[in-house]
Amino acid sequence: MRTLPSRKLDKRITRVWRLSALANVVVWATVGTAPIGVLALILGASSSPEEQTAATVLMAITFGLLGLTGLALIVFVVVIPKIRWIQWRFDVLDEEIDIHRGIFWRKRLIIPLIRVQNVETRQGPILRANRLASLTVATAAGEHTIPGLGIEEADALRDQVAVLARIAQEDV
Amino acid sequence: MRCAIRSPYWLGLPKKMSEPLTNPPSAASEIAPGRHPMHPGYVILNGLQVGTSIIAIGLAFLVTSGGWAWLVQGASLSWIIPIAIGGLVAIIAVTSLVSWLYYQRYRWEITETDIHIYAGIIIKRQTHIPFQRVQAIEFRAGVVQRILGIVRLKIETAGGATNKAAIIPALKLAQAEILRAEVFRRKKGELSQGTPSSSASETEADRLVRQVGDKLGGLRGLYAEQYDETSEIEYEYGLSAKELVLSAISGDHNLVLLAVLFGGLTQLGAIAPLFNLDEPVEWIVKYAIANYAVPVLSAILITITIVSYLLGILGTAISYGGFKARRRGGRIEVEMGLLARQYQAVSVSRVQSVVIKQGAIRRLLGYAEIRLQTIDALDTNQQGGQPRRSGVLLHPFVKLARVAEILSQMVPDYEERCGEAELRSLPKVARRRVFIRHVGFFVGFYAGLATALTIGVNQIPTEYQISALSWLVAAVWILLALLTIGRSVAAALWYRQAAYAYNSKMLTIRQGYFGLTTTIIGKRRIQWGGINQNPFQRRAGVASIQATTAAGVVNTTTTLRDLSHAEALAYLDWLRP
Repeated sequence: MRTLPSRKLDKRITRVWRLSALANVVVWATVGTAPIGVLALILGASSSPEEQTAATVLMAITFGLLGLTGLALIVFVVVIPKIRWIQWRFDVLDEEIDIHRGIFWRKRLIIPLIRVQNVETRQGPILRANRLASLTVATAAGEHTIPGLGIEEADALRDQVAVLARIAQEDV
Repeated sequence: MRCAIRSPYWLGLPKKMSEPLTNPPSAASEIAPGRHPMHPGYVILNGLQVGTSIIAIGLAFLVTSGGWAWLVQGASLSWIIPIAIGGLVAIIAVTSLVSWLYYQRYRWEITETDIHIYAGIIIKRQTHIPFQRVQAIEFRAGVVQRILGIVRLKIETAGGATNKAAIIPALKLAQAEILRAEVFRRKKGELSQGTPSSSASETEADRLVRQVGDKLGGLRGLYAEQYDETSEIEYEYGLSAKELVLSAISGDHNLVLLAVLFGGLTQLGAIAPLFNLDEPVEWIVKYAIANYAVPVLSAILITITIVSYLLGILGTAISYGGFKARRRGGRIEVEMGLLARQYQAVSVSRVQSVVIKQGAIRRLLGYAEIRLQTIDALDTNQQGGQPRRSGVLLHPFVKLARVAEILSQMVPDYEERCGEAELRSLPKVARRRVFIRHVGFFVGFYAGLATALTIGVNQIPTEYQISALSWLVAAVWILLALLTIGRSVAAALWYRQAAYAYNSKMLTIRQGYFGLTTTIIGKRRIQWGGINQNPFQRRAGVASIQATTAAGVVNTTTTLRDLSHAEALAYLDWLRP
């Protein structure tokens, strides 16, 4: 029985994940909460008692949603990136790439290097700001990405995979 | 690599092909060098096709928008008809003109290493396909095309994610055959072993079917010309009359029909008391409804079922009629279809996996369907979506005992697959899990709904109770019980049948409920594989295994749930090269 792969992602990737989770939560919270809150404020300014009651209810809903947002922030921004980083492991061995990932749904993948058709490092603006890069290997049946690696590490891995994959037949 | 280049004509203005045309050889067995046009029949065929679809859309729009009524009211027929005819002619003329322009600008060419296609009216496209990358060649011909003897030729390549096929829209059949032979000749890996075989024991009915098939297949039309294939047929078979009929009547869609019929009849039984009307209506109406409603409705239902059953048989006969499969050297050829006809040719070395599938009824009869999974390509003019059928149908309906023979003759590599005896079944815990998955959730959900319905009906005060409602409630519970039994049997069968095996070359995964699907994948066709575990599987100590090949348009994944964790890890180690 094999043990888990040994290498881990660069710890800085959690920052990138946190940032994108934060952006997601903020966008969704704004879209979901703002209209209700604004409506509550508008109704609250009115003098009719029914509308005042409605405003109170809507205000309560708004605060409820804000509470949920806070919870989501804790879960998605604080907890999950950390666990994801702990779970994400990989190895580039002589003949295969071995990946283990997933928080609830765990996946373990083997990509034989002789099936790798091309390999590349990619870097978006957020990754660049954190001096990170991702490594993508493409097979005839789709791509796999190792997301957060230090730039030097990513380049070295890319060259290593490229050398090992050279014997791969591009023909399937 | 296959590439499409936009040629640098300024502003994309059309420009005539500068190179001189060479006429295609009339009866030669090879293609002259140079660029060739496609068959001129394209202009009429495409013009008609596009024209009729435009007219159909126009008519649909007219009818749905109510413009029809306005037309009829506001205008006399005397000028509607000329306008309609004029419009029709104009539409067909315009589409034909566009088709003609496309035809004018279209050229194809083969060189020592590539097929080149030059196409496009405004945006010019050049496509180069190295023979080495050709996965399969397919001809299709509709009824009109078959009368003319021309085909639409599709060349499929493995071009990664953007997997598009190159198409020559119209070509003489003989030329398409030469092209096909040429492409396969220039690809290496021709197999040399294998013995020619012909069926000696042919019944009268088989002979009839073969003759009809030959007649239809041999309908080479007006322009097809003759072509003699040079490489020898090493193995060939067709579909006998008995097989064709049996395959038509044993499709699993028949089960669906039966289920619908049964469901409809029970519902009629449930609502029958409704027809005992208490309201004072004309006695004749009351009499008619009470006595005839149920029988008449049942008769209608049964008629519909029989008609759709017959249509299904007809459909199968039309699509599989004249089925023939053969192997010539390293190439597999399959052709089928009574009216529209389809020819597929694929190199043996391009087969990604073999799937042997038995529907529920066919399984009882001991028959199976064999399909080869290959890398499929989308038509260049087909945006997204799956192709109509994936892979190559090696045999639509074959006796289980013959599967081994066909596989060894058609795809000799798969001789090395694991035997039945090597198949390993799943641990006990998998049985509990399939029951929960397949029966537990189903019962939980629908029993809840049925209970809610029962309570709801009981809430109705007695003076408003109708006997039909209590009938309905009873029917719902009976249906639920029957379905639960059915699903329990299915789950038990799944556990008994689910199995897998691998040796150094091949992976076999078998699973199914009432039907049975066996997938055989060569290890070197697995692009990547792995194991998955959800939280429940983790607690039960099991994991799913999966293998992904490049078959299909993007890829194809085969999964088997609930191996013991240790066995799953062993599979993981097997995946390592």
